[in-house]
Amino acid sequence: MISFHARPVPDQFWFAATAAQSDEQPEAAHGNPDLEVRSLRVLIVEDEFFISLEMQNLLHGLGHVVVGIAVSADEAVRIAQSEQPDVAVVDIRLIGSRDGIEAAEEMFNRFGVPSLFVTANTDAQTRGRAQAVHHLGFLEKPVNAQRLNLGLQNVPTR
Amino acid sequence: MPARVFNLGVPPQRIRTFLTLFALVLAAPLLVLAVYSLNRMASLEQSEIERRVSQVAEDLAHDIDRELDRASAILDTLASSIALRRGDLPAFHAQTKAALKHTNAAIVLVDHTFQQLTSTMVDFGAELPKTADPETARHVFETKQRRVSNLFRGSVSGRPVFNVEVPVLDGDKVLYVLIMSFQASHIANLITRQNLGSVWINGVTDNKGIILARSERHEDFVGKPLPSELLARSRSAEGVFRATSVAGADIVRATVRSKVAGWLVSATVPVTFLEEPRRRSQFFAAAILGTATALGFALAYIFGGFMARPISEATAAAAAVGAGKKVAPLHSPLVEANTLTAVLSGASIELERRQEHAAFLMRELAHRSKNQLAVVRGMALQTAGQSKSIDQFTHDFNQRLQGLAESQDLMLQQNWQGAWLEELVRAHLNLFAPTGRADISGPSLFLHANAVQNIGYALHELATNAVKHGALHAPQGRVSVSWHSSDDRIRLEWKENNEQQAIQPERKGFGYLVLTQLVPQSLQGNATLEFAPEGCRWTLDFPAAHVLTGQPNQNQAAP
Repeated sequence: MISFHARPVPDQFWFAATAAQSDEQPEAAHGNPDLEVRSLRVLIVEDEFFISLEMQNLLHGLGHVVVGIAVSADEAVRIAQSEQPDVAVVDIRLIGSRDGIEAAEEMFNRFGVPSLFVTANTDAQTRGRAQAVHHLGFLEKPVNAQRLNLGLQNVPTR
Repeated sequence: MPARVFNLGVPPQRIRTFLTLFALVLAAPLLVLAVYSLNRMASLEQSEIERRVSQVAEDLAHDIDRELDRASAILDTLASSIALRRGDLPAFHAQTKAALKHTNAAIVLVDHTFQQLTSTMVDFGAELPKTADPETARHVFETKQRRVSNLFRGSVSGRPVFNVEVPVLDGDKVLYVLIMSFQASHIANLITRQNLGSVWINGVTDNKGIILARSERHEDFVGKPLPSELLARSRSAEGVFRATSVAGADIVRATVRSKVAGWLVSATVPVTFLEEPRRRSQFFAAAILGTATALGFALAYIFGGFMARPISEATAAAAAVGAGKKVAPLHSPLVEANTLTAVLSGASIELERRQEHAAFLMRELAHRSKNQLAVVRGMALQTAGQSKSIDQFTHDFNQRLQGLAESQDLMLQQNWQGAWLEELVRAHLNLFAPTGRADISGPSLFLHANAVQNIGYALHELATNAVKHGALHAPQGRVSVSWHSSDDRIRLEWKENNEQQAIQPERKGFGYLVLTQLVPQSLQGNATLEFAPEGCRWTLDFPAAHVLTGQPNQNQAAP
């Protein structure tokens, strides 16, 4: 299953990715050209594959490398350990007993991997828990390239 | 739900008003009885007083007659004196003096010229005038009968007196008239009865209507005429009557005629005395009525308080529930109010729980719809990526969207907890073909939401392929969907049975990716997809953790 993240994305996907990119890329590029050229190794933590596939496209479009897609907190920690990504893009609601906040906490504490949370409409209690964990910010679903780019600009250099 | 219990036809009243009415209605028969009894008693007492007035008058008349008879008896005895018959007046004078030893009166002897011959008031031989009342003496001379005079002023004493006169007979001839003369006050003493009480006034009037004696203020009234109206009524009345006294007071009077003297003997009491019992009973009735009313109000106030306070507190509790607040049950002396507030308290707790649940559902709905938008966006982009034309995109995207909607519908029915696997299979097959061409079998399994969504995607891709290229494309082809659980794994199998050779897809597209990698990855399971000669065969093996043990809870949304 680990092999999945390494698998090349089928050609036909590029249609959608380039379409999304063409709207937003120029603005982001003009905003901060220095950061734009920096390529990050990114771990996607998301249990809904339609969303993770799109996230993958957006990241590719922004010039980043997706090192893996995890559907649960345990899997996220495992990939974080083996791949040492620069950042994890984490959905808070996940399948399994632990959620994205717990995954983010463990990834940062054990491997120094910071997380960027992706949420739908999160309630106050969950948001409070997320605030208590080291994170780079929140991204509201649905995510677009511009917002994702802004969120990733905070990733510290290793 | 307006409940109309009953209508009294009057505006709504306070509890205290009803209790007051209750007390008064309860007391009313007793009050009526009490008033009736008091009234009856007053009437009896009044009759008794009237009877006594009559009785006293009769007794007085009787006593006067006896006194006059006694005087007559003394005179009759003296009239037969031998000394008198012999003409021995000095001896007779001595006899008369002796006869008066115990009597406060005077005895006088007159001849037919009304000249006094002897008088106990003077010594024998002293010069005496003629009698001041010759009329009575003349009458005795004429009738030879005893006679009692009216009131007159004595010729010797000058005081108001009356006489009892008897004839001294010698055969048929009246020789003298023998007179016993009494002061009017003698009768006044006789009719003054200390035991009757101060309100009683008794009186005697002579045959001319002159007051002869009176038990009260005798000296003021003696010799005065009785008012003519009172005299007329006294002469004619039988029994008890009302009148105005000589002193001007309203009185109740009974008059009896003296048999010996013909005088009118009266007993009187003031009207106020007669009416005293009735006034007293009226006072008592008023007192009882007042006390009962005051007591009724007081009790109604106290007991009304017992009820009104808890009821107003229950009302306040109801208003608080209406305002969405939580209320506690009441512990008051009134059971009904306690029951009411206990119900209200339960309702307020339930209301709060429902409000919290509604808020939870709203948050959940907001979250899910946003998440679902992200899914739809991803779905659109993926479908677009593998579409050769706009038409193909529109068709494929529409179908995927419908599949997603089917999965959502099923989960919505179960409060987003998940869905039954069999219903999920049927729903997705129904989108493409009647399930009459499908054999569906397996134990009852309730899948969690994430599994429903992912297996739904897989079933959608399988059904799409079967309609385009596989068993549902061929007229007689069949599909078999079966599953079974063992230990902690679930194994789901999709198997097509074509009549003709299956067509191997030329290109491993997005559907292939969904079935072999994306879905199994999401479920942390394994899948195989084979194209055998009799048709396509897909198996999915995934952990039983995606299945709910026990029955889904109908009241709670998924956490």
